[in-house]
Amino acid sequence: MRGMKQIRDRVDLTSLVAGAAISVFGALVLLQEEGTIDLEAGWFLATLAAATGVVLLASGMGARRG
Amino acid sequence: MNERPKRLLRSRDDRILAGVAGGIANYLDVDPTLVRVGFVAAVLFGGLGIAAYLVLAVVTPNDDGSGAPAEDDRPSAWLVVLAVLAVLILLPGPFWGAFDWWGGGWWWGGSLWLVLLIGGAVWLYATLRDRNRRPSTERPAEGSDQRTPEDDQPAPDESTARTQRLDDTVSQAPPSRDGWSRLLRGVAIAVLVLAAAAATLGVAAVSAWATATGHGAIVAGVVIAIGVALVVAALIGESRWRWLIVPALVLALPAGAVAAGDVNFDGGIGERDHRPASAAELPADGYSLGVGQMTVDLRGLEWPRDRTVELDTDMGVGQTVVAVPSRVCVEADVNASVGHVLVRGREGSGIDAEVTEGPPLGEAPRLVLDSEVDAGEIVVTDRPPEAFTGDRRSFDDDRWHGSDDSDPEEQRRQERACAA
Repeated sequence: MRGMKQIRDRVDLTSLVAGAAISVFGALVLLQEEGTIDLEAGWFLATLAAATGVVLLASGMGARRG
Repeated sequence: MNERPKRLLRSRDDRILAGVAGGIANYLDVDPTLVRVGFVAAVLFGGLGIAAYLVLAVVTPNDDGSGAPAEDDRPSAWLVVLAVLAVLILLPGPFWGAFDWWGGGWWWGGSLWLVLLIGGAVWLYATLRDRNRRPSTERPAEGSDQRTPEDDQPAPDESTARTQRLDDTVSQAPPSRDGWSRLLRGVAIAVLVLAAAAATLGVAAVSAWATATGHGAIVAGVVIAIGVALVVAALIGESRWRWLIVPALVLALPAGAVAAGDVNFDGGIGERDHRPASAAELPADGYSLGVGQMTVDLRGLEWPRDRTVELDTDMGVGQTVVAVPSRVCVEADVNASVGHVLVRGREGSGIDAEVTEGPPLGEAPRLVLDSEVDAGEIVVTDRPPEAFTGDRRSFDDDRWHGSDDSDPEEQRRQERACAA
C-alpha cells in the first residue's frame, strides 16, 4: 500500500492526463486518415474542448496535491 | 621610414556593438556617427549593412589601445556563426525568391527579417551570457563609448565626485548603461517572441500540409509518440517534459482540423492548363490540383455524337476555371467549401457556396460538370478563361469584396443553349 502511495505521489498528474489526451487525439486523427471513422468538424472541436478541460482539471488537482 | 602602415582595427574605446564603426571612423579620420549612419542606411540595400558589419567584426582585430592589434584576439564563436548565417542568407538574395511572400512588397526583401530574427536571438543570448559572467559591481571600462550627458559636464569637485561614486556603487551600474541594456533586451525578447511565433506557424503549416497531402498518418504517429512519451515521463515522476505538450498541440491541432475538414491537397501545386481536343482525352477521374490555378478549356473540344461530356474537377486551395462553348448547356453541381462560385453568370459565395444547374430541356449538347474546391473559386463560363485568371484575379478585385458578380447576359446564353 505504501508503495502504491509512493508511486501515486511521484506521478506528474498533468503530464499523465495531457499525454493520454494527446495520444487519444492522435489516434483519432490516425483513424480519420485511415478512413475508419468520419469525424466531422463539430466533433473535432468538442473533443478538443473536452481534452483541454480534462488537462486543466488535472493541472489544478496536481497543483493542489503538490 | 620604417613606420608601420595604419591598420584597420576595431575600436576599443568607441564602440556600441563590436567597435567596427568606431574603428573605421578612426581609420578614415571621420565622425563615427557618420559611419554608423552609413551602416544603418546600407541595411536598406538587401541587408548589406548587417552582413558587412558582421563580416568586418569577424575579420578585423581588436585595438589593444595603442593602435596595434590585440594579442590572442579571436572572434567569439557566436559572432562567426552569425556572420556566416548573414552572408548565406543575404548575399544569394535571388535564391530566396520563395520567401518573397514574407517580405510582401518590401523592396529590400523578406530575408532581412529572417536575419533580424536570428540576430535578435543571438543578441539576447550574448547579452544574458555576458550579464551572468560580469560581476555585479563592475563599472564600465575607462573610455567606454557609453557616455552619458554627465560625462560631458565639467569635472565635479571632490565631494560631488564622492557622492557620485557612492550613488554608482549603490545602483551598481550607471543609469545610461542600464537603460541601453534594458532596451536591447526588450528588443531581443520581442524578436525572439516573433521568431517563436514564426516557428510555431511553420510547424503548424507543415503539419496541415502533410495531412492535406495524404501524410496525416505520419503526423498522427508523431503526436501519439509524444503523448506516450509524456505518459511515461509522468509515471516516472518527470514533470520537466511538460513542454512536449506545446509541440504536440502545434502538430495535432492543424492535422485534426484538416482531417476533420476533409481538406485534400493531392494533385500537386502550381498552374494547370488543360485543353482537351476530344472527349476521349478527358481523364475518367477528372482533373485535380492541390493548390494553385487550374484551367480546363473545352471551347476547342470536338463535341461527341451523344452530345454529352462528363467532367469532374477537384481543387484544394485556389481557382478552377472551366471554359465551355456558348452553345453548350451546362448541367452543373459546383461547390466551394469556402469561397466563390460563378457558373454561367450565376454566382454563390461564402461558406459552402454552391450553384446547381439542371439538365437541358431538349437534346442540346451538354456538359455534366461536378466541380469542387475546398477554399477558393470556381468559374464556369463561355468567355475566354484569361478574363478570370492572372493578375486581374487578385484580392484587390471587387469580386472578393462581395460585389454582385452575376452576369445576366451569360445567364441568357445558358438558357438559350439549354432550350435548344
